Amino acid sequence: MNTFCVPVRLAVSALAAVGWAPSILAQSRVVVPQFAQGAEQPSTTWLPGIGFDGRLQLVIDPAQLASVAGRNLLGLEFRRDTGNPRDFTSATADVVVRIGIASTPSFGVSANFAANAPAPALHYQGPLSAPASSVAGYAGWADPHVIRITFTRPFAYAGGPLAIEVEGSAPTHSWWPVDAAVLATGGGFSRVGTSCSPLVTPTGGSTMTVRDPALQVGATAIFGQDTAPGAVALLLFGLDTLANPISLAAIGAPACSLYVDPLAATAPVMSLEDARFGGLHEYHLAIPADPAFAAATFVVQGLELGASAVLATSEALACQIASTVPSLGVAAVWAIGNGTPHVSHELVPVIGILHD
Amino acid sequence: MTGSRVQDPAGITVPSSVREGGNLRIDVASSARELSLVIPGHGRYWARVTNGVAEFRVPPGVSGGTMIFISDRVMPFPSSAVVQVVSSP
Repeated sequence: MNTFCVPVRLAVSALAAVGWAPSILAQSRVVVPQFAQGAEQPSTTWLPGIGFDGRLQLVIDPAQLASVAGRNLLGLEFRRDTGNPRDFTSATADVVVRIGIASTPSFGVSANFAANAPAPALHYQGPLSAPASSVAGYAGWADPHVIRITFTRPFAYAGGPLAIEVEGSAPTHSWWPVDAAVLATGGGFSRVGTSCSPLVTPTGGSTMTVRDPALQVGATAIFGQDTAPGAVALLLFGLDTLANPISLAAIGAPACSLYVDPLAATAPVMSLEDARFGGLHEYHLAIPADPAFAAATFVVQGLELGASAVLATSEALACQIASTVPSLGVAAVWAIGNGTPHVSHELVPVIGILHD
Repeated sequence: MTGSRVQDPAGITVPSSVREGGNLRIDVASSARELSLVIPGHGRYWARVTNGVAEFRVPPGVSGGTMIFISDRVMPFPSSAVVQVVSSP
């Protein structure tokens, strides 16, 4: 008699009694996006609780999960980013994982967690450990190069778009970037004119920026503007630039020009001050999830009021939305801290979903 | 360069120091596309992020002892870091 089998059988019996034996003994992984299964992806991102306090919602298309329809989902995995050459130190955080059927496929999500997943259920709440991971030992999904969350109860996935939410926090954050997939085609922008902000240096000329890969239909375009400390910022939006920029000298801003033909103005969703860097202002523009907006163009320009200049302007950004509809099969909604959520189609973590 | 520093939030990590005129490599794990660098007495600079890395050459005339302030400007909690320029031997 093989004495080793006895405790194993006892353990299996005990696990079967609580309904977990099949889950643990025959666990497989489906990777989202599917093409990332065995291939390092070109970008990197980080998880709530490990890199920042906040919330991440992933909405996954049914096509990505066809192989697990009718199965129990048992946990999540995120693998380290191989492109980052540093050794990662171990880290811990407190996380909550909620899962539910999404109200929309990935193309159609909004920057509203509840609207995307009306009734997510709790499947894990507790500590999350990121292992120490050295570059030399890296090998795909193998330990210790994976952050793993094992659900306290499985999710019976019957089909349809799936929403997974991870919310996390930690007293301090750690350097543990995870592998992330990106869209091959992004939008683009060009700068028109120059900034007249007091912040501009001879080597600069720019105080406005946009994450151009995020210029996607259905995504949140995020613009950042730097101003002098204490300034109020405003973003002008239009469909085109002016054929001849209008000098603002007559209103007390001799070095400034209006480049955009404005249709509307919007206030920042977030602003903060930093004595070293001045004022930071972030604007969100929700690009409708409508293919008709693919390759559409628009122009923005920032205004800066008060502080050391009565009025100043940024350069204008002439933006073009990507010409194709997002195709990763998964969208991410991010909320960093208590910040305004935004939708990302262009950058999503590579997700390993454990199932029976 | 010596050692590395991880800031909180851990959006960027930088070496503790860089030599005069040297190349500064900044690892970026946040969604930033550009980093803002402020060098007191010299002005503001930008460093483009490519595949999670930004590189910046310390401009001529920036002498040892100068501090370089770096921010990824990711709201609402920008990651920032400080690198000290050290004199070349």
